[in-house]
Amino acid sequence: MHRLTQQSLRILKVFVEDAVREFAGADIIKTTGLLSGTVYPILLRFEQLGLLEARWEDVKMSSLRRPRRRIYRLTAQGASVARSALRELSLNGHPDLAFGGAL
Amino acid sequence: MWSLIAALLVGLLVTEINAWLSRLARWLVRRHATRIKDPKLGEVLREQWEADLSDFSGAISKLIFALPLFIVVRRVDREFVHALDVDDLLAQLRADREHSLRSPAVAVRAMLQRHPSWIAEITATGARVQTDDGNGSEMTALELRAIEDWIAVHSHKCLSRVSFLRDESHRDRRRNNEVGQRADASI
Repeated sequence: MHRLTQQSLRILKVFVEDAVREFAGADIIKTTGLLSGTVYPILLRFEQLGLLEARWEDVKMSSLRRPRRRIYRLTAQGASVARSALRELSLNGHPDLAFGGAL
Repeated sequence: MWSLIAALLVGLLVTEINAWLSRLARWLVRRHATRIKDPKLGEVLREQWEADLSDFSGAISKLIFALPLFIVVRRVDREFVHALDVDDLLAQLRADREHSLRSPAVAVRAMLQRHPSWIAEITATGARVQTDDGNGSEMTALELRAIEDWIAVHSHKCLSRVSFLRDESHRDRRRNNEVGQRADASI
């Protein structure tokens, strides 16, 4: 498995904490406080690794008045990788990134 | 009276600056997306970024979103677009090899001239690389094979990165290559 940076873990944590929800890039940026220049390459990388899957928002373009959003959700593999990485962090004393005990 | 006029003018100025910054942010998003070497990937990211940009309400936050996208351009060009070149090169190499093992491999030279950093990596595998068309510049079958193997490894690694962007024809071509590989292996 590739080494996960702290920024990658922060993004994974957002997905794990609300596993059923789908997130757009802007949601991730707002939630994590990371810059767009950091978030998009990580999302692309997670997608190619199969940790996230992406799809275009399923709405009529004419009713939107803006471009479609590309939304991401965690795959089963991504959930497994994220949980083990975040659990490991909690064991190593990084409570800021680790889970609060829900997993 | 004067304070009322001043307040109105300041209000107008703020509205104007706000609109101008929003337009600047939108321009930056488009500019960054068009700078991505692969136009298809650039188009996907442009649409994604424009939609995400509209999720930010303030002009300053739009600008903070748009400015760092140049980092994405650099990273994407380095990590993802590179794979498209590799894939094309691999297809050309296979075609060359099918035609004649002693062909000059023009495609290889052209690609290596575009990516000089590859030469060091290929040379590290023990293969000799000649990129000029001078005397004796034809690659031997062994050299060509070594380079092809190296590219195949990198291509495989890179291809998965851009799989979501591939259209049907591209997937078909890759499938054909894989079928060809299996046929080669069985021979």
